[in-house]
Amino acid sequence: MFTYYLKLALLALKRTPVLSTLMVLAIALGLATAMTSFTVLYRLSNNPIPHKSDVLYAVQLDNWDPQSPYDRERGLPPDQLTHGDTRRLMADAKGLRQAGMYQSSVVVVPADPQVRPRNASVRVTGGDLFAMFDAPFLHGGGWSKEDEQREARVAVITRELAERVFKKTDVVGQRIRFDDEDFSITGVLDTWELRPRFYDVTNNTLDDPEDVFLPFTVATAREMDINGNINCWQPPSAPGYRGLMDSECIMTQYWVELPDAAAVSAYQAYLDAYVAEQRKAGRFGRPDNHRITPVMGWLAVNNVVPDDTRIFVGVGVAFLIVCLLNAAGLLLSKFLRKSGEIGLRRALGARRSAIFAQHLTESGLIGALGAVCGLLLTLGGLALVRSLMPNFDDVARLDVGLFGMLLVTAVAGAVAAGAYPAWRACRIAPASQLKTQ
Amino acid sequence: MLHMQNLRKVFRTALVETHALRDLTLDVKAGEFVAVTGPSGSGKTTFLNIAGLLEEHTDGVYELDGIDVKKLDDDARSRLRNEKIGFIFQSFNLIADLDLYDNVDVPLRYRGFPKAERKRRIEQALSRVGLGSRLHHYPNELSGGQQQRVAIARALAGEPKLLLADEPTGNLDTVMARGVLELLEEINDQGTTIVMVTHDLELARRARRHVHIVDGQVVDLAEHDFAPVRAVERVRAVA
Repeated sequence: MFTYYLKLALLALKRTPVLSTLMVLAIALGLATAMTSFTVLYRLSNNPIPHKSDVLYAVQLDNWDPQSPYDRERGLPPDQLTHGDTRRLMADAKGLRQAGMYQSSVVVVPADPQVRPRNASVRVTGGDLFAMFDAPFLHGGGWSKEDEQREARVAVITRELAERVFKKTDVVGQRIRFDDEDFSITGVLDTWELRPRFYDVTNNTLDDPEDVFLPFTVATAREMDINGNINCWQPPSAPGYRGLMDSECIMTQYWVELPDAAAVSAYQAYLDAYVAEQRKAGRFGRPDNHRITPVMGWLAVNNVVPDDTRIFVGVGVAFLIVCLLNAAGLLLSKFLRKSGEIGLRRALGARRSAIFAQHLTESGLIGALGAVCGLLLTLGGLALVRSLMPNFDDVARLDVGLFGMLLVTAVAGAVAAGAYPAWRACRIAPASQLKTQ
Repeated sequence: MLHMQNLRKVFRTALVETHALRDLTLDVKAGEFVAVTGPSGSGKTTFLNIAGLLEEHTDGVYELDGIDVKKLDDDARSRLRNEKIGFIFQSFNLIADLDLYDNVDVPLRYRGFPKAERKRRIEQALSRVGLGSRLHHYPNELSGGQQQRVAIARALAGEPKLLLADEPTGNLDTVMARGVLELLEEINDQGTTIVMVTHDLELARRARRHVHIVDGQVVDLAEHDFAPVRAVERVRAVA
């Protein structure tokens, strides 16, 4: 009977083209608004590293002003560490893997003088980062501990940078000039989808991972600038780069991999001991407030998904409900206008369930058409978001899963919206309609 | 075929109680052609709606082909209506968007016949009413008489035992009305029971039996000076 109901539904649409178009557009508009906002939220609240997010922890120490907390409202410790604490924690290496890090930049000077030098973003970090974050290597790998200790000029670059500078990707062992120094390439990273880029919430979390990765020790030796927030509660005691590196100013992110509960306990005990030791040396004048936070908790604490995105989704869903209610109202009016035909069908032997199924099929068809139009409008809406907010270039894109969800939502929404009108239709008393048809 | 005993139908609202049928008793045997007449508001339509299982009666007994319909739920009533009753309405009640084939197909769809069986019945029914060559015409392409013939074909396609006609010629001119009536007589001759509600006494006289309803009750025909003339008419028609 489904094909029969579908045929009747198509006929019904043909019979009332304006009303049907209005219903389809109402559903499409509601869906497009909800799906555009939901797509952005979904992408932003994505778990960037699902298979490891519960064993990777951001480390926080509270070295802040004894007279004034870092975060008066929420009581949180600083979101970054000092350079000195970072060096020490990396040297102690009490986790399975760990890496302090910050963002910097270099000028890439191509060997070909015809090609113009260009800026490249740099992640200054420890060699553990690649294994810790499962960085996808296309060729080669990270650098060694020995490289770090002897401050070897080594680098990992992305395939995009390799292609731009060398016109190929297999460039392991080749040299690349950053600023005024040559670096040996140990590895080339494949395209790395890490969104949001959780490891540094002080910079734009929607950006791709950096173009270049350099050892922490080398960057310190080269006195490379920090392209991020540097917050100080007291001025450095000595001037210049070295003074800043040994100050109480916070400027680095720190991540540690702790594979199980025992490792977590051990690391917390290590931090307790470290803070106690530093306190004896006259630092950490505030009450204990050091902590480790896993990836998703870290993203939540740092509001990586902006509140206005959630509000936008709420408004989108509310608008969808309004649109579906409107469609339901139009469906009800449409179905009740067909009372005569419904009464006739009942008189000719249609059960109530058959009338209900027929009209639910019509609602479903309108929902499916609404979904198709809604998909087109969603793609348009996302394109609009991308054009208005360049940072959302990779975020505001529809994926297959969301597309499927869109279809199911539209049809289910329209069927739900059509259920009451269909129920009303099937309750029509046949006798009252046949005289008046 | 149709047994009604002390049938009552009361319409209740908050303010008023209307007795549409009062202890109506009527038996219609298989193969009969019964005309039901009565003044406006006498309960003719209510009688037809109850006979056609389109409304439930309030009290009394109604057996259709031996089945006590009071005990049936809505689904069972729909099934019984579909299998045993064919309807012919004054205003034809064809679905404008569907061609003749699909209009006649409607009750067959709900019966669940396979496609080939439906096709056979539809073509046979439309041929029987003289519209076999116009399967894919639409109702608005036909005259009133032709539309009523389609309605009759739709009623016949399910091969019902009982045909209920509500003023079947009410919207037709004399020539078309005569054609439709002759068709009904022919159907009756082939064994189908017909109950026809009408206010047209001339039409009623052509039925084999005449029932008059006043104030929701069947009244004695002798008091109303009716005499069926159909037998004479039919001899004339055959001649």
